[in-house]
Amino acid sequence: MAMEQRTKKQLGLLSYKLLYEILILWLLAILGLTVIQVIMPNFFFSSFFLAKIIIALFVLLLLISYLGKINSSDILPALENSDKIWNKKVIFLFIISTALIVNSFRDLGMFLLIPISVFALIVLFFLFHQTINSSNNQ
Amino acid sequence: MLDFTKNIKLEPAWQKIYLVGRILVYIIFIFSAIFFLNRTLFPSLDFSINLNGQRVKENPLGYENTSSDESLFSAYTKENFSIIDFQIITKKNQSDLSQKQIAIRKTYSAFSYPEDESPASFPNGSLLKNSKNFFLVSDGKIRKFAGAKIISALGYTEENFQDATTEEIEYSEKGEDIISAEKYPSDSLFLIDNTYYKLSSDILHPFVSEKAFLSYFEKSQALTKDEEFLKKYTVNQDNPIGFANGTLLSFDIGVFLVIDEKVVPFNNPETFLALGYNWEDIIPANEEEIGLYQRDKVFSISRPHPSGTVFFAQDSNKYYLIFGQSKKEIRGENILKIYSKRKPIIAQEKSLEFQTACALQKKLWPFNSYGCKSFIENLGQAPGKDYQFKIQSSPDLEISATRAVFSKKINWLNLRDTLSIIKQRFLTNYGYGTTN
Repeated sequence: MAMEQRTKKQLGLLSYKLLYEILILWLLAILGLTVIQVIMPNFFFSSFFLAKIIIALFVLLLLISYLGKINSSDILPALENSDKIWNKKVIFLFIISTALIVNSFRDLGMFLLIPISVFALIVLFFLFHQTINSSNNQ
Repeated sequence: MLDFTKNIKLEPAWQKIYLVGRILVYIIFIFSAIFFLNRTLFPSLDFSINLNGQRVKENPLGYENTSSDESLFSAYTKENFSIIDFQIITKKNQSDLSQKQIAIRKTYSAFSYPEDESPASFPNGSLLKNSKNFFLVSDGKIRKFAGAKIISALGYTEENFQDATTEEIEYSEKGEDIISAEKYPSDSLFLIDNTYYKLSSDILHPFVSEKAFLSYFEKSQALTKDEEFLKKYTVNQDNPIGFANGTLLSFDIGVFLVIDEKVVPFNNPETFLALGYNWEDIIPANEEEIGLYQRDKVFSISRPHPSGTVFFAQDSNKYYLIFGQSKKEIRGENILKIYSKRKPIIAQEKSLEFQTACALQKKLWPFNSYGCKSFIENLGQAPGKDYQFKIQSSPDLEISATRAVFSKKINWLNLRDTLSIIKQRFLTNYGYGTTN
């Protein structure tokens, strides 16, 4: 019985770790596809295809969340609880976001492009900051 | 390797399974990336048709029963491919199609129309001179002016007439001679107070603009009259005459093709180029000129060229005029001069031959299906956007569905073509290039 429970626990953790791995690769893929779609809209694939990929991402997140809840006693204490907002990953995402936002508004002209892009990035930063703060509080 | 959940520890045995799992995930990711790159850099195109009436999602195959024992399928694309994979699914209990040949060609479907016995003739309204004889083409017939007195009484001078050879004149049906100077024959052309008119059944029809008139005739063909002349006839202002069939017009950001009394917008620049048209042949139109027409459904790549299109067969040096569902050869320089107001589409007589073929083999799945593969790189050079597949079979053959998958070989030339298209699109997207 104890053996069975141990196996179940290990299987749950293994599934969680593998799904997390898949999640990171999936996010990288979505990032790449989004950049391609923004630069050359509907040339390589349609927006519908990208939407399907993003929906699959949500399914993956739900699965990870479910496994996380089942194995919460082993997973939660192990997760990093960082107060640092500005790490390498965030800076990388910030640069990509800036490029995507500026590209989307490129037809507006410089006088509108700069203030709108800066405003969009500020909003993005605040949303991110709030999300990190609320998850830390949890 | 990066471990995104390194703080979650597994037992040693499970850690090994986890490592194997990670390697598998990365292998699948890499293979997916390679698959995506392959599909992107060497794209394939899938055409199909379901003859049971079910809807096909996109890229439908055209289908025509050219005779009781011959079927013709058409796929429409501007791109050049290396390989075609053809599949036919028949209904149950049909005769065996094994070893039947699928003949393939690439051409323009309008160019493959049957050739009419009679060549193209001068259009209505043409004023012609041959030696000391003068003619007008009126109501589809060539009518001779009875003498110089009639010509001068009607107000014509020699400058109004264009040259025509005896042979060219004979291409038109002969009509009655013009013997009266009191009445102008039908299809006479006039210029009155900067507006061009055509006489038809004693009613003067104005052209919407000078540009519209010049899409049919030369300026010299219109007889100049004063405003008093308008009182002699009824003028139909409600239905002015627009541009000649096959004229390319631009308005706002759209490009349109004039077909009968409608303008048809092109669905995208690729379709425009796939049909062999040139950006320089587009005539800018104003609101009044475009407003004259009803708008028709978009011109997609599957539609054939309309009536009025002129083709030039490079290999045989012949010109053809599309006339309904047939084509007429344009013989004679003077007739060609009139029809060349619309720039000819370049074609090749050789493209009408079915140059490539493959023999059908029975497939295990789907049931009642046959397929064959053929290399079609040699068809890439032929001008045209219509890949046509001909199959000869028994008159009672019932085909359920057909599919044609075009693909490209993985080689440097195809990669270069795709990269060139990507570069062009990228530059156009950012305002640095034009679609070519």
